[in-house]
Amino acid sequence: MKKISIKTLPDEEFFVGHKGCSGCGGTLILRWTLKALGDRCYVVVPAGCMSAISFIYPQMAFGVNAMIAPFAATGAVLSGIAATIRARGIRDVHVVGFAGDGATADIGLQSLSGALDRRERILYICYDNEAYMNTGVQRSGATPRGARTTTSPSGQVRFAAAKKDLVRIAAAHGIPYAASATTGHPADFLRKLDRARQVDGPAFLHVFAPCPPGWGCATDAAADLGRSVVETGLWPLVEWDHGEVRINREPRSFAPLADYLGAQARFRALGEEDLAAIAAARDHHWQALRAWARECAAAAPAAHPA
Amino acid sequence: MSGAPVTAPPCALRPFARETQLAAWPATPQADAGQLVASNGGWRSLWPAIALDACNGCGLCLLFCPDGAMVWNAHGLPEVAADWCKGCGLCARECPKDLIVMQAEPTP
Ligand SMILES: Cc1ncc(C[n+]2csc(CCOP(=O)(O)OP(=O)(O)O)c2C)c(N)n1
Ligand code: SF4
Ligand code: SF4
Ligand code: SF4
Repeated sequence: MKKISIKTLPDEEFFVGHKGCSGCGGTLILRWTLKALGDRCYVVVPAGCMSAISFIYPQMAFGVNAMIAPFAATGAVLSGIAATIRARGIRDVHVVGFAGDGATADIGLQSLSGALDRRERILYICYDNEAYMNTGVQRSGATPRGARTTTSPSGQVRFAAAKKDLVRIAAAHGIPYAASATTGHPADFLRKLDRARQVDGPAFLHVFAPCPPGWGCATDAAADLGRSVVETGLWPLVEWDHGEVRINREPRSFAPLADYLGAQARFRALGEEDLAAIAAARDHHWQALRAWARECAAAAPAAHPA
Repeated sequence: MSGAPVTAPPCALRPFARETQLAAWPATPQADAGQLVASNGGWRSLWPAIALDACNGCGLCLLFCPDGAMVWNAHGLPEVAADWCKGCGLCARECPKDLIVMQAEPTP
């Protein structure tokens, strides 16, 4: 298997001609993934932006077999396809799903959990634009504190629950591999994709995916926001690999929150107090993350090493 | 990115006219995978103009285009596929040498 990296990325395109908004981060993630995985790929996309913009008769933006799953059923459809091709002896096809944060963290969570439990070889990618974008920016379980959506108009820093930690939710199933990534770190993303496609069992990638109309950011900001969300500590790059936890980037000190939040209209209403609350929540999240990494390092090695 | 020159855009524009070509419409969208049936050029308000003289062919503009609209030309240099580009400006922002400038759409 040829290693996936920016240098080895082929020229062929398997996701183009879509009607995604100008500068959409989610489409960038799909394009990179399918370029890297090549033509031996079955794709599952639930209701959401990526299906709405890709299956527009008479044209399909996917250059590989792709189907739309019911909103709540990405995991079930993925593991069903994987079981079928396994029964038919097909070994060289990647079964990959691209689901939004609503489809993953909320309505599709039980289906994802079931699929992770069934241990089929699937690759589940959540492109996280941090709200239900296709239906007009409603708050999801992955919307960060302080972000304005149409159903959290004030941002609700003090009342809203913290963003669901999808990597740890996936890792809690004891699957081989789960990791977070962003549109601003293509080499890191492709390395994780390379790892995810090779493990024997389910793999989960949680990828930061800026949405210019939903976030009120510039159309050229998808990569830059990916970098600043990591530098500000709001999106840790982390990897769960057979029971071992790696924090890929440990900023010695976090960049000012304004570097990231200031570039987006959805955070415009935040005051000093709100920013302090967000910083405190971030620091607590990092403490918990480091404690998790230490705890996993202290535990016995996983039962099924790579 | 291999840097190997690709002269054609990733996919071709193949317009369909409902009235005259009904029989040619595929039975499923799958039949036309990777084709554009209507140009995305109209989405654009700014055009990415590339100063090719100083370009080292690093390929980052191709990598970061969400639409696959930046392609290699026959000389191994980047070129914008006009029907595919939505004018987002990501290529310009990510070019490490700042060779791409978003400017007013050239008049045909
Ligand atoms: C069972 C069901 N409920 C509601 C919908 C309507 N619906 C379609 S897409 C969507 C939002 C999807 O949000 P998300 O999963 O975050 O993906 P995004 O649109 O942000 O890419 C909703 C609510 C549906 N298709 N099916
Ligand atoms: S609304 Fe957001 S996520 Fe949906 S296609 Fe547009 S930019 Fe992408
Ligand atoms: S402006 Fe956007 S769509 Fe056009 S070539 Fe550059 S990155 Fe691609
Ligand atoms: S990113 Fe800039 S230097 Fe690199 S290939 Fe594109 S135009 Fe040339």
